[in-house]
Amino acid sequence: MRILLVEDDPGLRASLAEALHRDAYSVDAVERAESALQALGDATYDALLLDIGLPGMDGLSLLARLRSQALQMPVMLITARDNWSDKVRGLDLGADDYLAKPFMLPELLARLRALLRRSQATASGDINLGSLALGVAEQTAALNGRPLPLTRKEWALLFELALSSPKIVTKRKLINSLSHWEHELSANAIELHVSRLRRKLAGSKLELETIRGLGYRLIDTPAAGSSAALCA
Amino acid sequence: MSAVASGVSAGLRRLSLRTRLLLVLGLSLTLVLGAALLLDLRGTERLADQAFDQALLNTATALAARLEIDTDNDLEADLPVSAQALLQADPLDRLYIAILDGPGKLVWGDARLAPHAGAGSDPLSMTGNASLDQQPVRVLVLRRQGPGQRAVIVVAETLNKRRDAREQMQMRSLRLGLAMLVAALLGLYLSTRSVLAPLERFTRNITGRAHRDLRPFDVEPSGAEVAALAQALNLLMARLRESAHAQQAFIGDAAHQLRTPIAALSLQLEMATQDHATALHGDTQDRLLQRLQTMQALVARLQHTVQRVLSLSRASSEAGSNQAPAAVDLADVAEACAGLFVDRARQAGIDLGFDLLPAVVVGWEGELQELLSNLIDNALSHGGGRVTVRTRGLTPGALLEVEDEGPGFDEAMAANAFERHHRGPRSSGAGLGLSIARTIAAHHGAGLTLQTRSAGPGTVARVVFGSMLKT
Repeated sequence: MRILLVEDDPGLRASLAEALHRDAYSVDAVERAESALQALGDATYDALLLDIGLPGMDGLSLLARLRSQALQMPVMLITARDNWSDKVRGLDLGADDYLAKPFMLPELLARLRALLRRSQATASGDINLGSLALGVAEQTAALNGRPLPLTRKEWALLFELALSSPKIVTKRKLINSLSHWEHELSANAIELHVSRLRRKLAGSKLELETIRGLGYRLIDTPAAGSSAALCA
Repeated sequence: MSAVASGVSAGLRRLSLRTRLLLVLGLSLTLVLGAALLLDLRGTERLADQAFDQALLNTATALAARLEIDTDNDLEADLPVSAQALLQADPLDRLYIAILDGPGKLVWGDARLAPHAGAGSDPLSMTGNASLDQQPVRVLVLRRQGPGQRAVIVVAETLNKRRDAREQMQMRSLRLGLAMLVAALLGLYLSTRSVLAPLERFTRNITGRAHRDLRPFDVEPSGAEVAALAQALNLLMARLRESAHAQQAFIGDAAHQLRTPIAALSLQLEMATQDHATALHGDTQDRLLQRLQTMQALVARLQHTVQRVLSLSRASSEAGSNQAPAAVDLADVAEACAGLFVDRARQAGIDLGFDLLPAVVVGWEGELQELLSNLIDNALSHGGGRVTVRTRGLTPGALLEVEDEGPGFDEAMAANAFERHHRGPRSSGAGLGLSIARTIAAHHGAGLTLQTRSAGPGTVARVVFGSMLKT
């Protein structure tokens, strides 16, 4: 996976580049948006980590430029300003995620993996989450390389959860997206499918966690360690 | 005297402008109209007297015409028939007549009038304060000079007609005067009301505002004074906006300056720990690992505190924010916040759950997320067992609750909980969370309270949003 990092602070740029490199990403780090444009013209990247506050052209302008050129790579914005309107504008301009400084490395990596997983699912139709592999074309599933027999609804459920992992998928959203397959799915039916799915995933490092009163989330390895205490 | 005057003026100053205007204008108007009425009453009296005096004079003159003053100085009054008629013509008043000659001898008429003939030589004189038959009378004395002889005609009349006429005229004046006073006071009341209406509208405009809304006021065209006041206030608002913007810019810069190095430091520590894991083991190495882990914990705390401090200053300084509040569903806010706490709850072994019903308020979504984040953060730090986030729509308003099953709190703690650097006994944070939450709640016109959970130990942080904020 090749990542382009745009960050003007030399200390953070070097640290981030090294940390990503250790996690087996290949990283190109630049200081300015103008250099980023050049780099994007020269090579293809799987994801862009973009600081909003940059000297010269700022991150949001660069993002707008990229999206107007129909460059569809996933973009994660990083900012030191927890300005709500920046966040909304960034997401409106087509950013896929938004991370406020300071952040912990595990969180950055988890979010980056989720970002790449989603973009890969769109591009190749396959989702990989830890030991789980989902094939979109034939609706296949494999756990630890062995085929995992699933009903259509279970597969759809697992797909939604794996695509959003480690984020929470609300029960409402699950009902909406699974009701395509049949007329209308009740909340009870969802719970039933979830508990069956949970049994089938038992023994793997994947955990299907219930968030009481809200929904579910699928996580790989216990606690990916999100340390963010604030939303903004 | 001056003490009384200053007391009155101090009392006046305490009253509203409108009451003062009404009081002062109403009082002067009443005085002026009252004086005019008094003058008018006096005038009426004189007018009635003049009219009736003229009638009395006519009677006397008519009598005089019937007198023959002979050359032999004999005065002959040839009047029995007409005088009798005159004496009985008026049913209301009694008329007394006496005719005397030069030396004062009664020629004809009522002898009781003789003393009034007097010694004066004026051709005509009038007296108002005599009385006959126990009744007040008006006496008119007319003197006529013949060739050699003088005649004095004395006519007196009781005052009944005069009194009636005077009373009628006075009653009319009084009614008219009172009607005018009432009309004037009513006009005064209505006009002060309409004149002061722009001022009152403006006051409502100011008090109805969200308290950090620093947008300029509309300048009403009606009433130069109110417009001037609005313009003066707008100048002040502009200065406040400027300073709020400057403060925000400063906080933004500070945020940038603080957060970036912390992020870098945190990454470096993370990698140092990883390095250590691959290195050889030994006593020194173990101590180094301990140090690294301590440093990581410290950086995490620093990060947390910086985040809190910055968001508190931001929350307090966003008065100049031009962003208009919008309708926000607290249930959506809770959904957005949920993801940020599930990992922490999981690590702490706390069951973080949600009980969400639509609860729409008017406010700033980012701030509301921060508010809820702080409450959840607080509940996770102090609580245990289950933590439940609850949203409910109220009519009017909405409710946001975070309930924990921790040890609860005692009264002394409750009093200090909102203080900026107060930390609960089990708190690991900088004690800013509740302070931030309360500041944000206040921005939204909402109240934040901490209560003991009713079912078992624990605390409920409750934010009650009132009716919609005015935008």
